[in-house]
Amino acid sequence: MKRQSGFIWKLYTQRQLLVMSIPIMLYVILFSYVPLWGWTMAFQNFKPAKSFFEQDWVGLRWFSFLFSDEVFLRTIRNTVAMSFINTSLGFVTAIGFSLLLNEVKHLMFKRSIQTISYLPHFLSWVIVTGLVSNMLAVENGAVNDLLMFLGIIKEPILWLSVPNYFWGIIGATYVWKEVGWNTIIYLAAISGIDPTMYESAEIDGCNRYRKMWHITLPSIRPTIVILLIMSIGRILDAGFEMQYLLRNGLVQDMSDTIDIYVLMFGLQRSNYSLATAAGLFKNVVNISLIFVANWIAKKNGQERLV
Amino acid sequence: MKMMKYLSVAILCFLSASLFAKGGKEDLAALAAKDPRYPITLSVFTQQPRQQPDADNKVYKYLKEKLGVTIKWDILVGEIAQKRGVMIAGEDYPDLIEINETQFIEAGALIPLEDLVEQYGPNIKKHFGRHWDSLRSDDGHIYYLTNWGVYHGRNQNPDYNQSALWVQKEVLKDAGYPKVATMDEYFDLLSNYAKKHPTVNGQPTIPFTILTYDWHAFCLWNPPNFLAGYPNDGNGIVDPETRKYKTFFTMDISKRWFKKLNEMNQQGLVDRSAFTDNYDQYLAKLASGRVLGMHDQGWQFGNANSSLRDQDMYNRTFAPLPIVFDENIRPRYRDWPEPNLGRGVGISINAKDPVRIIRFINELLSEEVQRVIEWGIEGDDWQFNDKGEPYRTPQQREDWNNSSWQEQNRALLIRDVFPTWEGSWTDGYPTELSYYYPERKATLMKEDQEFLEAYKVGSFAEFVDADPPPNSIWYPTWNMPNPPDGSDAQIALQRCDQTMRKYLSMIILANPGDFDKLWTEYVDQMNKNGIATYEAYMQEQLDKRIAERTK
Amino acid sequence: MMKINISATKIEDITFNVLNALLMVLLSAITLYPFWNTIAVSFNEALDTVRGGINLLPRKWTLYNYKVIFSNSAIFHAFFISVARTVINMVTSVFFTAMIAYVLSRKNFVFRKPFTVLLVLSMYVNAGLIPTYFLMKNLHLLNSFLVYIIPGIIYAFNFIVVRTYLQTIPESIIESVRIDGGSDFTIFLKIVLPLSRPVLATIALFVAVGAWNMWFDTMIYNSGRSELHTLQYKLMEYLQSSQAQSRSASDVGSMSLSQSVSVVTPVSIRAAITVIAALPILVVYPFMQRHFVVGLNVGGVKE
Repeated sequence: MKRQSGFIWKLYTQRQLLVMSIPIMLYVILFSYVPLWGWTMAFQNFKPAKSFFEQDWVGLRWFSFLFSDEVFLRTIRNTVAMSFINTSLGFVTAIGFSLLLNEVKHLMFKRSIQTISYLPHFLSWVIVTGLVSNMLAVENGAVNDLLMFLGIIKEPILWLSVPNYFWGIIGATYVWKEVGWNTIIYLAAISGIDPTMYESAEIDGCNRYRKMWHITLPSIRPTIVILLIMSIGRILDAGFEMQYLLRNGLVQDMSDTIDIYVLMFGLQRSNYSLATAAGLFKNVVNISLIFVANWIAKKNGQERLV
Repeated sequence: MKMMKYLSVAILCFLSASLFAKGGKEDLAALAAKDPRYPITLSVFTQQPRQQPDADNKVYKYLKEKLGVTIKWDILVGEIAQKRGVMIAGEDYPDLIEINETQFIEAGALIPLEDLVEQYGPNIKKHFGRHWDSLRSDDGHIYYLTNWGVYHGRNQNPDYNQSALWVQKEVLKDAGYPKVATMDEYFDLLSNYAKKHPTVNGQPTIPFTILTYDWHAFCLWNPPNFLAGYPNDGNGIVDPETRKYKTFFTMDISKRWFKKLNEMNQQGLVDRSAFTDNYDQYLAKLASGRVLGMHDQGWQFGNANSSLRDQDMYNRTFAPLPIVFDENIRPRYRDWPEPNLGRGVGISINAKDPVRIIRFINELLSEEVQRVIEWGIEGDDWQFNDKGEPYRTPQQREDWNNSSWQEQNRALLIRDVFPTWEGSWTDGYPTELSYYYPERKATLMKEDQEFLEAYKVGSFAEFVDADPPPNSIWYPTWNMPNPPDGSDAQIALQRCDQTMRKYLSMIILANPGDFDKLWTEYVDQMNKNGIATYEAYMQEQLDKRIAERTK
Repeated sequence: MMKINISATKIEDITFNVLNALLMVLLSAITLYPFWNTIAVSFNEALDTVRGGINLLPRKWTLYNYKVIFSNSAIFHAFFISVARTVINMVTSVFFTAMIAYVLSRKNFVFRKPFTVLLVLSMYVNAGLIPTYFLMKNLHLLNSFLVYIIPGIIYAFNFIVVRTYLQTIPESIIESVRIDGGSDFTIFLKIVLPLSRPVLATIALFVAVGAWNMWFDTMIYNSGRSELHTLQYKLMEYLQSSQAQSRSASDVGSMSLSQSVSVVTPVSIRAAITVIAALPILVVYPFMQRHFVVGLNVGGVKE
């Protein structure tokens, strides 16, 4: 028998893994990467009625349009800020909530709370923001009523008319709707922790907090780090629905995200090229950030994405 | 586990059935030669927000038996720009497309109809009458048939649901049904009532509110146009002498209106939540009976009125007032109906037998079929009494006023998508039976009766304007084509929308001392946005239209 | 001394448990409110809801909002389509995601790095609607049930979640099977799939909820074939038509007749469709929840 070269031999020994993975990878290439020819639209004045070869090529016109528009630049600031606020609040609350929920020993109680907590996830943003508007109203608004009752404020505040409150309102709304849903993944990770670790820690005389700190948290750290890296790659995606539904003329300088801008100047106006240019910009930034975050994680010996 | 098994078998069967179910092709020419009304199924894309009709809908059954046509609706759910983009890119068109824009025509999705109609559509030609040539696109072809606003005979609509400064009927009653004509009189009326009645049902009175949410925000910037005595020409004003188009957003008439609102706000007459409340909250305020007045279009707050009625507060529903700045200005709120030219239905290049489709639309426009579509089926939805007058029984009226019932028992999509008669039938009765006086009287509320008697008018339409002056030849400019996608004019308009939301809110809320400074800033910003580009585009369209119509 | 110590911890324990339970109850009250409110609105007369102020209980009880939705028989067919797509999506997506996660968790796999990069980046690149539409068209997926299934086979996010979890399965177990002559496929089926049940249940939930709530693909690819409309799409159609009905509510006649029980508004219809759409998931969830707990026991198998 002839000796195979190292690589070919390796391929041969891993033939089962190859059979299992190559079709899936071809699928990923076909569905995620082949359509990327569409990015060319960012450099055209794209009209859907024309074929690829008939389109007008306009070079970087749409990019220079975007980056010379102070409104667009402001939406970048707003997007990054809200995305950062939502992500950090989202992480802290979800991890905190799962740790505390994990301490609940009564199974039915625990399950009920878990089920209830993710209910808002099934509501559309229209409903949730509608409730938020009602609660922030000056007349019969729960928030103003509560704060006046506690004596914190004397006059009801028109919360949604103050630009500086907007990011905070969005953050709170986001957490309200998604905290329960965000815990699912941590609870799954926690349930994978070997119970014998807790037993031995108890024997060592660890109290509840030390167990949380020294066993639970480190055990779900890979999950946390991975999710964190992934969300860094979403820094330019702050969504648009909740902001769009809660915004008004007085706060629009703080409320409008990139996606709202694209909606108003691109999608709703059938300006596909502008929408693609903004999308391409987001994709490039997101991917670069992913690699940076991944590199940092690697340097610190943390879990990483690739 | 067994459940799962059954389920998967069922799913498999279903899948294979849906995958392989495809009908055979028929020989169209042969069919048409034998019977010009051979049974056909037409697919239609529509932007009307309605439900798929039930399979056993009686009017669709009638149409199938009578005209041999079954309609398969593709109803837009979601954003039109997205759906339209993929339809055009993929050239995936159904037989007929309802359009509200020029993109489908530009993409070559529709076929010219004028020759087909000439040959096979006498009813269609007759229906459009003098409007026929205004259906033509720039290249001289007619690509779509406008669905609304083509009137036969007299318009008998007694209601007024367009723009107005509205006022609670109770406020007018309380003041002894005075004549209210000018802006100052209007606000005095509101403020006097508010002084006299600081609360309504125990909650603070809101003298004046403004709907500013999302796309409804036109209520914020539209009033000056009407107050200055111009008809509804969209975003602008056409000078009748020079025929120059200009947006009114930064004109002195706008400044005057916002100055007034700024003063009213200082006096505490403007609702402080107006700029943050959403549409539902706006309706809730109206439905609480505490709001005395606002500028709006009637169709936006019908639910609030209905809710007031159900709470036994019908006196707190709203009446339209044709308010102007000064006494010498002729109000131009109510207008003569015009065809909604930007909208209509066209035949796509994918349609296999356009002649059959034209024949169908032609028959649809016969008075007999139209009456079924508008009034329902005789004997079932209405009938003649002994004197030969049409009427509905109380049960029929109730059904007819139930919009869910309508959705299931009328061919609303046919009515909305295809050309429809409006006005009167040849026998003089209105095309909407409930406009007919005995029918109307049977449902008139006593508060309205009192109101109409006090002002000595027969209807709210008459109250607003008994006899509007004739429309100008270019009217209305709001149905002219929008600026092309991605054009500077389109972008400028979008930017102005943003600027107005921000500045006009700030200007109303500002200290009177800051008003002038903010107004200058606002005007500068609007100019910077390139509002002139938009005006230039509209001027071009206007010139084209005037040239066409004076030919 | 010892005794006091124990009871001190015990007291602390009890205090913690009580406080924690109270906090949990408070949190659930806060998160329950929006859904509870939606249910209350859905059972309240539409025109009464216009006034606002519905909190925990309906003011004027009615079933009309639901009656209107269920009066059209097409909704049951749409429900069936939605169940079919959700179940198939869930099964295919979980299986293939787990499979690729297993392969790419093999440290010595030759293409591990490039494949992983390709897969992860697919989460961050977005081609836009029109190119994607062309792909579906060229694959002849338009106007077919398959367009619900095929594009949703792999989600990179879920892949990463599973891969992260697989790292907790000790290599020794896998090696022992291999030594016994087990192929990778056997390892995947016999070891990896059962051992990762908690995480698979998690992503199954993600996929199912995503598939169940999807209506955009129906709008873009299948709107012309009403027999393929999903429940969510159908419900969106109702919501739209209720908006149109509100506009015509100001038409003549309808104003003056007393017919409050038979009016729908967008707010009421939205509440009712939200409840209808969420209900099946809420019913199914407790059965999936069990698998999270099974994970606890499986954890003990490690070593």
